[in-house]
Amino acid sequence: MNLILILILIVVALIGLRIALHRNRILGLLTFGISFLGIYLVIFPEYSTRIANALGVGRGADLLLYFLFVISILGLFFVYIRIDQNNQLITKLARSIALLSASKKDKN
Amino acid sequence: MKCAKMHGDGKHMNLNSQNSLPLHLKNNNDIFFIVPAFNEASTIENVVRSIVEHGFTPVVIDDCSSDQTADIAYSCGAVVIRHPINLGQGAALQTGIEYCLTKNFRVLVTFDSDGQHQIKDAICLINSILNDEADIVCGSRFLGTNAIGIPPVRSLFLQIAALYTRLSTGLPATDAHNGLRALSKKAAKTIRITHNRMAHASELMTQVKNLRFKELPVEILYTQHSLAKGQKLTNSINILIELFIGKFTK
Repeated sequence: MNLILILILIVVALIGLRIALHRNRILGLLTFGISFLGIYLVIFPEYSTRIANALGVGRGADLLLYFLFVISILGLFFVYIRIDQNNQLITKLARSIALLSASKKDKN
Repeated sequence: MKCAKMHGDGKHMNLNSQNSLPLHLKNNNDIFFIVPAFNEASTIENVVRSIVEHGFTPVVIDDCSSDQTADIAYSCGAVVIRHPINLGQGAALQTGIEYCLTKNFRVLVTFDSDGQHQIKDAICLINSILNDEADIVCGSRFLGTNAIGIPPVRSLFLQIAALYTRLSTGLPATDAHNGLRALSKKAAKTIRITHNRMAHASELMTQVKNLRFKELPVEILYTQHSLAKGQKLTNSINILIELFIGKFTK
């Protein structure tokens, strides 16, 4: 096993750990588990191939690619939701500023 | 720019008794018109003046326009609330509702700033609320009279949208995306718009469940201006996506 692969695995483990410490417990543990499963499958590719064959996918690497795709879409979805929540906060902030200036004008 | 005559003047002459306000109403300034406006300098004057002329109180929510919309509305006698950043029409409506809830009002009317709605229709809606016939009265361009100058494709899309509303809310709605509505105090307190952009119309309909709902025919004036400012049809896809995402965050 070469040095680059080990480096990548360490980075993945760190990111997984970082997300695992996220305030959403279930989401954190899920990401933690998934990233370590990924590391395991990279170190022992024969297992991923075996699972892939069981699912009717040719190679283990292909199976990982499909998983990557699904997880990316899921991640994108969560980011989208987060953006939406932030927009709602901004809206509330802007609205209260707008209403403050309106009440000032009223008194004049 | 003095504008003594409103474009709708001829129409107001023809007001029949059924359209005019009940006689016991001497003072109408506790009937608030919420007018969301974004870059409507060319039309806002007529809209605000027509509201003021009937003794109603216009509340213009300027959604951070880059033109003179706010100044013109203010000089015509409207209460102007200015968003510090552009938030969208839904957000502007909610700002207007929250402002009015701090005031003493009898009826709230939501009214578009591009001149496509007419005061005489708004008065019908207001009367319906004052007569306690419903908590929320929506205008529909597909009841009775046909929409004037509506492009056929737009008509089709709006009818599909109304069908979606009927199926998802069970309300007998024929026109879900009409900006002209009248709300009672109860309705104004119940409704909370969280979709800032265009999905707010559909969102509003989902909140009508425990309110008495009614639709009245209104006339929409389609002009070059209102068509250019109005919804693009491709936006309907965005609305569906917005509504879907909203299910997870609201």
